[in-house]
Amino acid sequence: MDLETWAKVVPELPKLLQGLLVNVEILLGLISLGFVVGVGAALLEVYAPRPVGFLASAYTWFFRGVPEIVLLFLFYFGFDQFGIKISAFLAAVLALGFRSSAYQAQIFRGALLSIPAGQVMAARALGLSRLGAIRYVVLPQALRLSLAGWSNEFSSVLKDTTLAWGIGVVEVTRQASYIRATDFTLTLPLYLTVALLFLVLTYAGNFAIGMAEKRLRVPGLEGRR
Amino acid sequence: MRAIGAVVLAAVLFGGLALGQEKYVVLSDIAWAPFEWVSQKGFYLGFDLDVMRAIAVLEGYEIEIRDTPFDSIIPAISAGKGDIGASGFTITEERAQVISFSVAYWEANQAAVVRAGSGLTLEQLGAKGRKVGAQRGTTGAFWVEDNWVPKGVTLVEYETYPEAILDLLAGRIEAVVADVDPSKMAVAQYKGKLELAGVIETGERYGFVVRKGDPKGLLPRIERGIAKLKASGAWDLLIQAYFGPALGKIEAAWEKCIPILLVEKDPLRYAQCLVAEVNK
Amino acid sequence: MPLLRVEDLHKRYGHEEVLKGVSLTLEPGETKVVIGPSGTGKSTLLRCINRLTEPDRGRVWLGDLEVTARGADLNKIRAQIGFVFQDFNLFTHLTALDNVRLGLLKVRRMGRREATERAMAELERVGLKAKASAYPAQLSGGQQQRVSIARALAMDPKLILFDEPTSALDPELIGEVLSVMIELAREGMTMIVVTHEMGFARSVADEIVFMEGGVIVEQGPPEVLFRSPKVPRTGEFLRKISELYGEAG
Repeated sequence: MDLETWAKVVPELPKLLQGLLVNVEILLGLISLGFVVGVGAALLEVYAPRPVGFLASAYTWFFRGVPEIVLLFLFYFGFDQFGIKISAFLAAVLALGFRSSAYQAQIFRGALLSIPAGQVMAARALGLSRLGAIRYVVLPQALRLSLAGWSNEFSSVLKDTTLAWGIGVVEVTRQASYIRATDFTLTLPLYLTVALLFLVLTYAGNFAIGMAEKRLRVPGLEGRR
Repeated sequence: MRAIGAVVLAAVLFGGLALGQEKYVVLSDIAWAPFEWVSQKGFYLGFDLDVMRAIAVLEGYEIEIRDTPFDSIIPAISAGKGDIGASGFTITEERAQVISFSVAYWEANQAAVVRAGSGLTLEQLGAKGRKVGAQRGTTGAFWVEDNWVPKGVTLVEYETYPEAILDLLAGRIEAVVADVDPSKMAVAQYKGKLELAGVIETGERYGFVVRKGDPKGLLPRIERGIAKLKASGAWDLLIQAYFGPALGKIEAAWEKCIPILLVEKDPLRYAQCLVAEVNK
Repeated sequence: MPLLRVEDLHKRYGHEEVLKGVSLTLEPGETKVVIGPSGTGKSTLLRCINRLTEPDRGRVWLGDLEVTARGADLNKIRAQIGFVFQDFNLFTHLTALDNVRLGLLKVRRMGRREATERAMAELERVGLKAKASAYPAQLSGGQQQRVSIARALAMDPKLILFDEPTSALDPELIGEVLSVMIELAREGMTMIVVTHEMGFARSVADEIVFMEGGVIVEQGPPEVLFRSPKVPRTGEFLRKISELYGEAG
């Protein structure tokens, strides 16, 4: 890997970045979906009556137990069985999003359980409904407590987005393989560049979450777990 | 004039002009030059894909080419997520049980690439203690498995062909077996570092793939298209243009000539243009 | 009409019957102090009154509104009954001001400005206006309990239930909370206070209720209960508790 080889990678950077943009799009889609569904599943697991809570537990058990690539295939090909055509991109967001929701649910569940029951009782005593107590008292605290775990999940799903090529989404590793297909000598420098791009993204993401954590920090809430 | 041409070209390439023609989705793993690859500017080109485009022109339908992982193409076609697979599929009985093949359009022999100066021959490679690499799932891997492994050769499988070549260069394996054309490309790229040990005649043949039983009646049209291309001489010109010249040259020629195929809809003149340009 | 009427409350946890038929009434402006050994159902009694704990049997009226009626609007009823907990139960993520303001904004649906003014007034009433922007973790136990009293007061409750409000406090912090409560009683707030603070009971209570084993053993004005209890057990308990906690407050 001499300088000359590296010089050949530089003009390819725009293509890699174009691919990385697709990874970021998948990431934003899946992490938002995972957040909404994950918070919902965690709330059901903790607060819903037994049968519903059991269903939520089964849901997280399923999505945590099945390999990502299998989920991708199940979503991409599975919908066809019901006559629904979905694009590879959408299938990737759904499969990885639901999977992430299962992990995010675990994070939120732990945080929810760490909020003292007395505070919920105090909220109910004020006349807040059960939902109101959850919304105004439990969630704001649980979400803050979740940020650290969430940071981990972010790094992990960011890497998972590269699996989307398995069902045909042209993301950064695929862009790299396009370039590599025309020049084998670039293989190593290309993948080192991709690795670097991911490291930068992971760092930036964790930095942003860290900033949010700092901003939302409340005395007495951060250490207690 | 040129600008208009470019706009039309872009529309044809990316959107497919909505002329009320029927449209079929062609699936291909577009990282296998020179059969299919993505150009510097992001265009899908290669022998398979141009044949697909030319047949579509001749038979009067539109195609949309979609990049799909090789392993997913047959499942996707079975699931109705694509209509034609054009990705250098070797015709095998196993595959023929789940999909239907067109007539063979290509006969691909295998080649073994070794480090330059190693002096290894095919006979020496097929012997006890040798380590030979191949891309997982390819004919090369199957051939080594069937013919050399019983003789005591260790087969090392790789996810991609370039990885196998890198390991060969690094000295971890002694040869890589793959189709002749990519093998020649690897030798050309690593001039002085790699050489061809020999060609293995396998009689392997490529076919285009459609859903089992060809419910859309595509095979007769594809085969008629191939026959027309061969009869006109365009077929041999495409082979000349794609197999041999440097990829960069092919890309430049393709960009210059492709409107003749897609806008003027003249496969023969397109193939002539391509050959003329790559030989400049 | 009494402000609060409790009739024959029963509550069982598993095998243990914690309340075995408790009845009492509370007139407007009255302060009742509930005493008794721990584990005799005093806290359960308070929680059954606003149905934070569901009683097994018995009825509760707030004025002419039956709290225990099927389909009673519990949120509306609870908003009228203040509750002060032993461990304060302030909302960790909210400042003192926001703790007091939450019920005003989300239950009373008060405008932001009005709610802030009201909350500040209540904080001032408990002597903590300067701590409005402090988080619970930045306050002493006594200060936290005063914020929680302000939180209850802000809702304009018809009565306040105090569940051992000083039991979790260091001795030197008890006084500041008790003096707020004494002030409230003086202003005519209707209260039920479960406590071991005999000094407070003696000086503030209109009536003392002695509970043991899930029933009310004896109730009456403090001077009667302290001087000449009818039931020997009452006197015994009062002597023991005075030795244990003193009569400060």
